[in-house]
Amino acid sequence: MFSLEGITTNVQDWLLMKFNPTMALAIECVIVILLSISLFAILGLVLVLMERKVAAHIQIRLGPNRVGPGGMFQTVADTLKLIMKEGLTPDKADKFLFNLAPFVVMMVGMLLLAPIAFAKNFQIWDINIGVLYISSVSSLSVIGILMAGWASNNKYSLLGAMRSGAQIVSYELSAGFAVLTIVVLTGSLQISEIINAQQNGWWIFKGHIPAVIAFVLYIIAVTAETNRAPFDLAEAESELTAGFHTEYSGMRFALFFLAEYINIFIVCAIGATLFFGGWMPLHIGNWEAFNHIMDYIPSSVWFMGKTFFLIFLIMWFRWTFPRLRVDQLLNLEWKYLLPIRNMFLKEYITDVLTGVTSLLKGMRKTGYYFTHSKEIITEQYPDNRATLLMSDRFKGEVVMPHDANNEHTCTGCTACELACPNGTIKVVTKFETSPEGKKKKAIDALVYRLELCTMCNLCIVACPSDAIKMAPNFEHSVFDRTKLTKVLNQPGSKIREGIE
Amino acid sequence: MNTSTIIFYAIAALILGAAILAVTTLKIFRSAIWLLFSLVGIAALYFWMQVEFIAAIQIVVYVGGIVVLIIFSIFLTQQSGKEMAKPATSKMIFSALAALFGTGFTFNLINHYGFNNISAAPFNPSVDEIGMQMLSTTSHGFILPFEVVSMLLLAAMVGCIVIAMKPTEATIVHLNKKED
Amino acid sequence: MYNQTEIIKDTSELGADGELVINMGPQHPATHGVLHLVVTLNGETIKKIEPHLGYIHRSIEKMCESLTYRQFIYVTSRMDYLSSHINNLGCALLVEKGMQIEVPDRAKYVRVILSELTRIASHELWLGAMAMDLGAFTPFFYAFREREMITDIMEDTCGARLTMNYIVPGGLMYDIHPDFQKKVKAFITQFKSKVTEYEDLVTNNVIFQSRTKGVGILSAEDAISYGKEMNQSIRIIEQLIDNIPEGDFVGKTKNVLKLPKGEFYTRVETARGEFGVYVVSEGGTTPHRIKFRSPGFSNLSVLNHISVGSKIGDLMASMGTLDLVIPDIDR
Ligand code: SF4
Repeated sequence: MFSLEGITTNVQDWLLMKFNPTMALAIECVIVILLSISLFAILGLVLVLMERKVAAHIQIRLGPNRVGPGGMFQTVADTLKLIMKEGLTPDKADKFLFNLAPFVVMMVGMLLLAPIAFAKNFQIWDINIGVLYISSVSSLSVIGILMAGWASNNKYSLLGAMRSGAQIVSYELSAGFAVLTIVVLTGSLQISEIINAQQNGWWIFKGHIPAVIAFVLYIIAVTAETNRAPFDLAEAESELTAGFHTEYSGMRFALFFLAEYINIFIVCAIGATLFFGGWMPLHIGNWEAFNHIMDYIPSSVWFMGKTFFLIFLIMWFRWTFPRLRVDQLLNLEWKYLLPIRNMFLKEYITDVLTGVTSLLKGMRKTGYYFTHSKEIITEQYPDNRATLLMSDRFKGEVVMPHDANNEHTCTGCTACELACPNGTIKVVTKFETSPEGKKKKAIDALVYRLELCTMCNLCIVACPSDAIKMAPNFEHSVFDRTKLTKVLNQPGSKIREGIE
Repeated sequence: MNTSTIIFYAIAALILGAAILAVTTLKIFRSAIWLLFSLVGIAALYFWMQVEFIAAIQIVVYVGGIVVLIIFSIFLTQQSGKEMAKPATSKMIFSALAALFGTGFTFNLINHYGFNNISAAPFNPSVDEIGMQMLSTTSHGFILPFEVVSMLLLAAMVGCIVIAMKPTEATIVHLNKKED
Repeated sequence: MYNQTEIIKDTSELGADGELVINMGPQHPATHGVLHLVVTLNGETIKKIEPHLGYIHRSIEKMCESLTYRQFIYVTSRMDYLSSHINNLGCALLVEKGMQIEVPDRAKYVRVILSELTRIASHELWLGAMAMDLGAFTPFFYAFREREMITDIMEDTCGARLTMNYIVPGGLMYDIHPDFQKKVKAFITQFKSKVTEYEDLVTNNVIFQSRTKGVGILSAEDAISYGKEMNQSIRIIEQLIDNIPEGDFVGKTKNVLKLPKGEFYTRVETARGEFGVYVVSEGGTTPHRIKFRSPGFSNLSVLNHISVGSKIGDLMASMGTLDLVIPDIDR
C-alpha cells in the first residue's frame, strides 16, 4: 500500500518555495479542509457498511448484499436517499438551534482530527498538548447533543439529551484517568512523543498491569462517551424512540449519524495511539530480523489496522450486550471504574470478576458466530425461488382445480359459502338447460376475495365434491387490490360428467 | 495588516458579537449558547497567542464544565422554552450605562499604561513547567493558592450535597418537633 | 386501571410539580405493537402509568356472536397470535364439553404436542424480544433460528406458520404430516444444544441480570420460570412424541353444532397465562353471548403497580417480562 509517510513535509516545502508564507498557509488550510471532509465522507460510508456487516454476521445473517458487489454500495445508496429526503423541522422547535446542533457535533469531530497521526510524519497539527487538546475538545460534543435535545421541543429528545449529558460528563473522568496513565508513563502530552516512546514496545505490552487496566477503562469510557451500546441510553430506541435525534430527518439526521461514526474512529485512533503505538510497527525486544520485516509494512497500514481492530471491538460490544439502565450506568462509573466508594476490596474484585467473565462468555458466543459464516441462515429470496420448498399443505389461497378438458367438480351447492366465517366466497349460480330440456343448477362464478380469507380451511372441509382446495402460493402482493378478488372457475369451464 | 492581525480581529469580533447576543436575546437557552460561543472565541484567542495549555483549560473548564452546568440548570427550570418579557426601559438604560462605564474605565486604564514590547526571553509555556510552578513551594510557587482553591471547591461540593439531599422521614419528624 | 384521563394537549411544558407526562405509544418501538401508555415521570422515575386501550379494538367477542360454533374458533387465532393454537384448543374444548363430543386419543396427543410446541415458540419470541427491549439485538436472531424449526413443523402439519387453524370440535382438521415425529425430534435435539447459548448471552449476562433483578415484583422469577417452562414443554413433547396412538384424528360430530341452553366455561393455559372462554347459549347454532378472559389483559393491569417508583428502563424490562401481545389485550 502507498504510504503517507512524510508527504506533509514535502507539500509544505513545495508550497513555501512557490508562494509567500501567508498564501502557503491559506492553501494548506484549504487542502486540510478538503481532505478532512473527504475523509469524513469515506469513513462514514465505510464504517456504516462495516457495522452492518459485522452485525449481520454476528446475527447469523448476510447483511446488505444487493447494491454493488457484496453490498458495497449500500451505504452510498442510503446516503443518496437521506440527501433527497425532506428535512423536517418541528413546528414549535427553536429553529436556529435545531439546525445548528448537527453542525456543532460535526465540527467537534473535525477539530478532533487535527492532532491524530495517520502515519509517520503525517499529522495536521502536532500540538504540544495533544492529549489534553483532545479531551478538552471532545467535551464540546455534549453541547451539540444538549442543543439538539432541547431545541427539538420533544420530551423524548429532552430526556435523551439529559441522559447523554450526565453520561458524557461523568465518563470523561475515567477516560481522562486512562489517558493520564499513558501520559505519566511517557512524560509528555504530545502525540508524536507518545508514539516515539513506544519504539521498543507498545505501552499495552511494556506498561504491564497499569496499562492493561487503563486500556480496559479507556475502552469502556469511550464506548460510553460515543453513546454506543451498551451505553446508548441517549438514543435507546426501545425506551426513548431515538433519543436526542428523534425529530431529525434527512441530511441533518445523516450528520448526527455520521458524527457518531467519526467519533468512534477518532476515539479508536487515539486508543491505538496511546496503547498500541499509533503507526509504530510491532517491535519485539532485540529480534532484529523480525523488527526489520515489520518495518517494511507501511506505517499508515499499521495505524489503520490498529484503529479498525479497536472499532471492531466496539462494534462487537454493541451486538452482544444489553443496554444498561441510567442509574447503573452512573454506578458503573462512580463505583467500579472510579472505585471511590468504600467497598470491601474482596467484594469489589469478585463483582468485577463475575461481571467480566459473564460478558466475555457472551462475546465468545457472538465471536463464534462472526467467524463461522456457515452458520448463516439467511434465505436468499427471491433468488432461491427455484429451490424454495413450500410444504404441500401450505394454505396460501383457495383454488379450484380444472382438468385437461377444462372441467371442474363444483355443483354450486353453496356449502363453502355457508361455511366461511367472513363472507369470502360468493357462489353465483345460473340455470343451464341440458340437451334433454331439463333445467339444472350450475355455477356461473365462484367469487373468492383473497383479502378477506383467513385460511381457516372450513370451505374445503365443507365441500361435498372436493371442488376446491388450498394451493401453496404465497406471493400475493399486487399494486391494485381489485386483483385480489378472483373468479375461481375458469372461463368456459363446465362441470365434469357424473358429478351431482 | 498581516494574516495574524486579520485572524485576531475576526476572533475578537466573534467574541464581542456573541457576547452582545448573549445579553440581548430573549430566550434563555440561546443566551447560554451565545455565551458558549463567546467562551470558545476566547479559547481561540489563546490558541492564536500560542498558549495552548491555557486554551485547552479554558475549553475544559468554561465550555465543558460551566456552560454544561448552566444548560443543565436551564433544563431543570420550568418554562425555559418561553420567551422572556422585554425588560423595562429604566432597567435597559441603567444596564447600558453600566456597560458604558465599564468600557470607559477599561479603555482608560489601557490607554494610560499601554502595551510595551518586552525584549525578555520568549515565554515557554511547556506543560511540565506549569505543573512544577503550580506545586512549587518556593517564593513564586503556587502551592498555597492551589490548595486554598481546592478547599474552596470541597466546601462548595459539600454545600451542594447538603442542599440536594432529600430529608428523610426521621429528619422531617425531627424538624417538625422543633417547630412545636 | 382504565379511567378516562383527559388527553394532554399541550405537552410541551412540565407539569405542576416538575412532572413530565409522556405518551408512550401507540407507535413506540418498545410496546410491541400499538399499546398506548400515558406515563407520568419525575425525572427518570415513573410516577404513574395509565394504559389506554382501544387502538386496535376489533370487537372480536361481538363478532363471535354471529359465527357458528365451527367458525368462531378461528377468530381467536387473531387474539394472542403467538399461542393461537392454544386459543383454538380452548374454544374447541368448550364446544366438546358442551356437546359431549368424544375426542379420539390420537387427536388428544397431537393437540398437546402442538400446544407445547406453540408455547416454546412463543417463549422463544419472548426471549428475543425481551433481550431486544433491553438493548441486545443479537439473541433475537438466535431465538428465531429455533423458532423457525417449530414454524416449519407447523407449516408441514397445519399448513400455516402462525395462525394454525388446525383444531376442529371433535379433533383435528386433518392427520399429521408423515414427517412430523422426525422433525419434532430433530427440533428437540437442536433446542437442547442451543439452550446454553441463551444462558451465555441473556440469562447469565451480568447486565441482563442487574437490569431485571428487583425490577417489578414478578420479573426475576418470571425470567427463570419461562426457562423452566420451556424445559417442561420439551419434556412433555418427549414423552408423547413416540407414543402417538394410531386411529382416527377426528371424532364423530354432527354437521351443524348446537350447544344446549346454558352457560359454559373452559380454560387453558396459554403461553402467557390462563385463557378462558365463557359462552352463554340459547340453544342455537351461534353463541348468545361470549366473553374471553385473555391473559394479556390481566397481566397488563399489574403494570402500574409494579412500575411505580422505578426508572423508564425498568418499565421496558417489566413490559418485556409481562410478554404483552397487544391484540390479546385489545380484542
Ligand atoms: S379458507 Fe376460510 S375464510 Fe377462506 S374462503 Fe375458505 S372458509 Fe372462507
